[in-house]
Amino acid sequence: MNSRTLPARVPTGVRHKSPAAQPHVTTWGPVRTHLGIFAILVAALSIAATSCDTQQYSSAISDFGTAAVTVVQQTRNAYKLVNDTVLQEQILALTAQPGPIAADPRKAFPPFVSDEDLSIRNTMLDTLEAYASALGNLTGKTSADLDTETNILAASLNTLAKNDRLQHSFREVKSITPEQTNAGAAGLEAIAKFLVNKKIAARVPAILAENEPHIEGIVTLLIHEIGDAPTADDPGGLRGKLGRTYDQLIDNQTNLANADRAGTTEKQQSVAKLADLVSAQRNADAALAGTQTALKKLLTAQRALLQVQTAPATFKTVVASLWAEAKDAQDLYAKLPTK
Amino acid sequence: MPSQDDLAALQKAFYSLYNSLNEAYYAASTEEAKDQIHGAKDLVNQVLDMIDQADIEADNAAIASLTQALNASIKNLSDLQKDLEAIVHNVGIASTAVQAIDSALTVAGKIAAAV
Repeated sequence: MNSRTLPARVPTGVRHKSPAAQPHVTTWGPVRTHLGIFAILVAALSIAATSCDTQQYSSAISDFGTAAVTVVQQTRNAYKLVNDTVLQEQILALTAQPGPIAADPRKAFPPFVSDEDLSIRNTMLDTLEAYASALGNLTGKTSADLDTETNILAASLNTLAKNDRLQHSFREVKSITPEQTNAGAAGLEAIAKFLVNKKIAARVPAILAENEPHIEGIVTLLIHEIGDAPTADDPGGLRGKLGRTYDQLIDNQTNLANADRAGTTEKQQSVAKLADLVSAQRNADAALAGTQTALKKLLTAQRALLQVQTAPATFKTVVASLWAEAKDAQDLYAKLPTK
Repeated sequence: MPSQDDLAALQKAFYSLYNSLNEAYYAASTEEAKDQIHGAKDLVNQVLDMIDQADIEADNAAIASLTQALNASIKNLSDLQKDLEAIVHNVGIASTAVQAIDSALTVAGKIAAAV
């Protein structure tokens, strides 16, 4: 259903639903005619109001969806950045090591986030994208049938929600409570149902309200996993790991620079690489911090979306701030050296 | 099996040690001294990664690897502790690192012995 087709449907529905649409064939005369006209007006106003509501949500949901997709992309970049940096560090550590390579190369490059755990994160991110896209289809200009991809995703979400691996995967992050992991799993299951169930545009406000805690459950896990700036009390999270990995890269690059003869081009290049690494460490941390903030703002935008009819300006401000944060993070990822 | 509290204490002690060794690395004057500190830092980092990555409370293989890494770091850190004052000339940095090693060894020893 979409905003262009909605007005055309209104008279169709009225004609079909209201027997009072042909009052002249009855014996009640003018009284019945007036009642009939009144009934038509009430029905038409009610349906027009629903159509208007959906149209109001349509553009807000479209903005929310665009921002959500960007945040999802930045979150995928966050995991990629950590694994790529760890690999870069493993390569440099072996390069800086004197003598023959002692470790078995097949075991020398383990990723920090394993393939299995990464696949869980990607499924969660696919869920957020699919949710935003389903909302868009519901209120947007082009209706879309449930595609095979969405069906497959919904089935995989049900499997994942019941999989112990999800619990184990997030239990490692100490700041995540079992209740939060359970909320994330319940969120995946609920969104799976939403994706495959028949959806009615007029129910958009109810759909948003029902799914708000489920999306929050999923996003909260990602926010905690990225983590805050490492402190003595909580050094964990991806930001902590990334910071330590850059420390090691810088140490190893320092060793290489120290081994070069003073005043040579080689030494100058080694020191220049050192300067690049210092700058990359700052940008990489800012990218993860920005991604985490964007995820938090996604939740704020979702709450503002619920109130878009009564507070449209608030929603606009919140979504603009979300969009700016996601774009900033995107720019920072683009600045970082690729693997 | 170590409790969640033990692991939190281990993470805290090792992260504090990690930061102290970072400072000590740049304060060390010779290449050999830097190598020795770097080696210790690698072990500390490895332990921090294990705490981050593994679902230790529920995974026997992970706890076995952690114990192995802790035993290796206990030996290495004890050696480094003896040498620190000689290889790092900044007294403040050396003494902070010695204390951080002390705290880390206490927690690590407790966890390694409990398994």
